[in-house]
Amino acid sequence: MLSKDLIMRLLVQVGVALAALAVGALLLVAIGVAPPDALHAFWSGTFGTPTNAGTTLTQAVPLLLVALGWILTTRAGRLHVGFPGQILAGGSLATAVGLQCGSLPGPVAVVLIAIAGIGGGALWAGLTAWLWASRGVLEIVSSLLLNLVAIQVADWSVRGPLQGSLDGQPQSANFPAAALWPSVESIPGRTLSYDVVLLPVCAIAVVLLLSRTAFGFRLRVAGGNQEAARWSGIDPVREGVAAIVISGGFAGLAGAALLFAGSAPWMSDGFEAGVGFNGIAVALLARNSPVGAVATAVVFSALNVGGTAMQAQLDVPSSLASVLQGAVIVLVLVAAVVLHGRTRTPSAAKSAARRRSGVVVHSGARTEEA
Amino acid sequence: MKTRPDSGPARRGTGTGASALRLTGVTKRFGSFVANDAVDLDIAWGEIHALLGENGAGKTTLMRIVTGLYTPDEGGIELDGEPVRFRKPEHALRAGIGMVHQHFTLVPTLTELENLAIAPAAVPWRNGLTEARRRSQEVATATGLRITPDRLVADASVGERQRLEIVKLLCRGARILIFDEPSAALSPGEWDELANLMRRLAADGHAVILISHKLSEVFSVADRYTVLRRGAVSGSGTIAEATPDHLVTLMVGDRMADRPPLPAGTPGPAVLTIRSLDVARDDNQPAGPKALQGIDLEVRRGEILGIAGVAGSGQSELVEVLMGIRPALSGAIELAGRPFTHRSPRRFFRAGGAVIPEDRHHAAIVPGMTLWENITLRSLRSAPLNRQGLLDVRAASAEARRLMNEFDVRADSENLPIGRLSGGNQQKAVLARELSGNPALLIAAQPVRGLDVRAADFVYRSLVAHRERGGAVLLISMDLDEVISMSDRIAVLAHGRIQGVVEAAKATRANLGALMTSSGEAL
Ligand SMILES: Nc1ncnc2c1ncn2[C@@H]1O[C@H](COP(=O)(O)OP(=O)(O)OP(=O)(O)O)[C@@H](O)[C@H]1O
Ligand SMILES: [Mg+2]
Repeated sequence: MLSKDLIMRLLVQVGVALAALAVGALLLVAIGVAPPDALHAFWSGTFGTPTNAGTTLTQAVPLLLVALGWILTTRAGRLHVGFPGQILAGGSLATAVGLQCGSLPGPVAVVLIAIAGIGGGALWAGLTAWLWASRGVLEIVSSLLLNLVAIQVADWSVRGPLQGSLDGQPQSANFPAAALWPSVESIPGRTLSYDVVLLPVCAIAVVLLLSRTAFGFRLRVAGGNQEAARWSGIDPVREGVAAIVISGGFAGLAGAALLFAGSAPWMSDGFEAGVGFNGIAVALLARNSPVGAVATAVVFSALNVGGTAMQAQLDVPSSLASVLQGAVIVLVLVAAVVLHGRTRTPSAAKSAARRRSGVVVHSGARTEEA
Repeated sequence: MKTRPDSGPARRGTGTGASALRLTGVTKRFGSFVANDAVDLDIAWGEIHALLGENGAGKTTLMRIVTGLYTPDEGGIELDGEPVRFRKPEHALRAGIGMVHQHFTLVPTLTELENLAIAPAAVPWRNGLTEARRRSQEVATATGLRITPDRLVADASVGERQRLEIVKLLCRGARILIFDEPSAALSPGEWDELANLMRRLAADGHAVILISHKLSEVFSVADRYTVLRRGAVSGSGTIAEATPDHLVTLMVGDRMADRPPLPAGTPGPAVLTIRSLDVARDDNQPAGPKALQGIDLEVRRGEILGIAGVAGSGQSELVEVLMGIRPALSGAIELAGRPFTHRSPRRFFRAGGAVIPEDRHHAAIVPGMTLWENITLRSLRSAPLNRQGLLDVRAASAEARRLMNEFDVRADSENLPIGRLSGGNQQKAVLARELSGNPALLIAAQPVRGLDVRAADFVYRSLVAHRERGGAVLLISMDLDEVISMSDRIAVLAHGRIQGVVEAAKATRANLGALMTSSGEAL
């Protein structure tokens, strides 16, 4: 039964990948590009050269960090979508600190910037957590609204206090060299930042946090059954707040990574570039598994980087990559539904029973019409 | 829809005695574990058929197969003599097989009639209410089952909700009704009503399947029985020719020794003292009606204090106040010799409390987490299993295995999600968790509900052993016989007041019953 489940799951995942490829191929044919050419461009643009592989891996880091934040909050039974705002908040604070770090030794600057990023994101998420815990405002609503606020604040800060480019562009001054995160020097273009170690380290840290610490245990109990948590002396609100704030820290660190390990050494208003929501997709694609999210983050990053490469080499619109990402998300959701219907774990059976009345409405209506 | 073209209410009442549902050689495996082993089951129209067996014998699994939630690995199902195969609950329901769920599937914010109308409508845009009203009137004339159409479900009692659940199934054409431990949520009075109802359904030609661990219930309503043991049928026959002893032997494999009378205890100083406790029924309306009024109670070391009373007399409020989940209006509580004023579940446990909550499913287990995590739900969070925030996972699961052994929790592995265990085994796991810490005070709300005879006996002996070690037990039960046989003293709770405290030796159903209906001057 278990192994059958596993096989089914793998089959579905392979199916999703194939379907995504098919969708991509169809799109390419539709706009008049030969799929083999596209594939070649895609490959060389993502993993074909060390330089490009470095870019792909480095860009996977922020995606994974956001995904890990999402995984933690869902495990605690909360659901927020404030990652874009938290990335902006973390990135802005990291910029403010980073710009002052010119005279500090490199390692100190890197750590300070990372802390600033984490702090900014956590603070921003703290607003959401506070509104939920003390005012009962649903975290999904407040986080969504705070995203809009964060966008405005970031817009304003690169035009106001952080503005520093000489030609008056809405962007900060160039970061001092000491503040930039180190990268592997042997790779041409130095595209591979050392922060890629965060990929395995953070994923494993989250796994251990959830399975091996008392904090993670409380988090899972609170997320698994609020009422039972309360009855066993765990405050589900406290755990929920902690999870939201930590996820904000992850997103804030992602913001710092986007800026200080990114391609441009300054902050502009659009630096978030959709990472906040794509990170959620990365987690969903990995079925909320931290280790799986490492792989899906790299896949997502490759879709981004490869899309840009195809655009440059074949004149394919770069929105193709976005379309492909969208297709993958939809397919994953479909796969989740398929799996849910197939595997009859008791929880699935029970929720099916709970939904029974609703389900009957439709099926009944259909059959009686037929 | 291919399953049973001729099904529906039109066939209701077709003769009695003819086979309604026949299972032959039904086998269901979960991995290598055989939950149902070549089960034959024969249910006739017009009968109430009791399905009996120990916790984990496979009763619920079998009924999940019958209602299409699981598909059998082997064997066949015949309905009215024709083979059927259900792949979804809807198929079974359309064929006329309905399950009365424990966790009701009603929407509390809608009226009873509106809840009925959440049923198949012929066309989506037609108002289902008139149809539902017509159907429910048909059901009322056929079976005498009446609903209160315009009452909100939220205002209905548990018994009334259960009746609505039954009417809902009947309205959809159910002819075979399955009750899985229906009395677990009911007071004895409500059970009597339900028993009448089942008889009426059977007299009307329906087939009723009843799963119950209470032999008194089985003997009062059932016509025939089938006993499962470790997944296989160990016996079947007519109730009229059976004795309780015989059924118990079929269930557990040998005779059960009679429960020895509670040996006299030697109570020590008070562990829990409650003085003039007042509690509002609604937390947000302190001036509103009271759930508890002027409660004075004392539970001493080495004593089991039973609280007797019908459901809704204030028992759950009392437990919640003691735990610190619900605030009190006034009054003083002392726990383990210290004032227990700033109450919270954490402080309750730290002061040496433990609790077996009444609502096991919602308050006691995390269904998605493993059995070992649930068993160590509290001990895992403190030393020695928790060292500076790091968990000793291996020691914890070893501890869980030890407790599973000691408390006879039957499961393939401690790594199974607890939601997959049978109801009774989930409960034994909760018991293991709460008793393992050797608490000063154990609050046990309906501790044997859903347990088979042997497990109930085991709980009884565990509570007595706990008492012998000097522990105190606050036992809450709606079953008078259970309270009388398991307590040293009995406090009768009615309408939120303690109507009197009686030594168990002097307690009888009659004098407790009299206290329950008295107006409150008894103290
Ligand atoms: N989905 C599942 N996966 C694995 N094992 C299961 C699953 N469902 C049930 N089981 C196992 O099958 C056995 C029978 O369970 P079932 O719920 O049918 O027992 P039951 O007779 O209803 O017991 P109880 O009286 O305690 O409710 C149990 O040992 C249980 O652990
Ligand atoms: Mg059961």
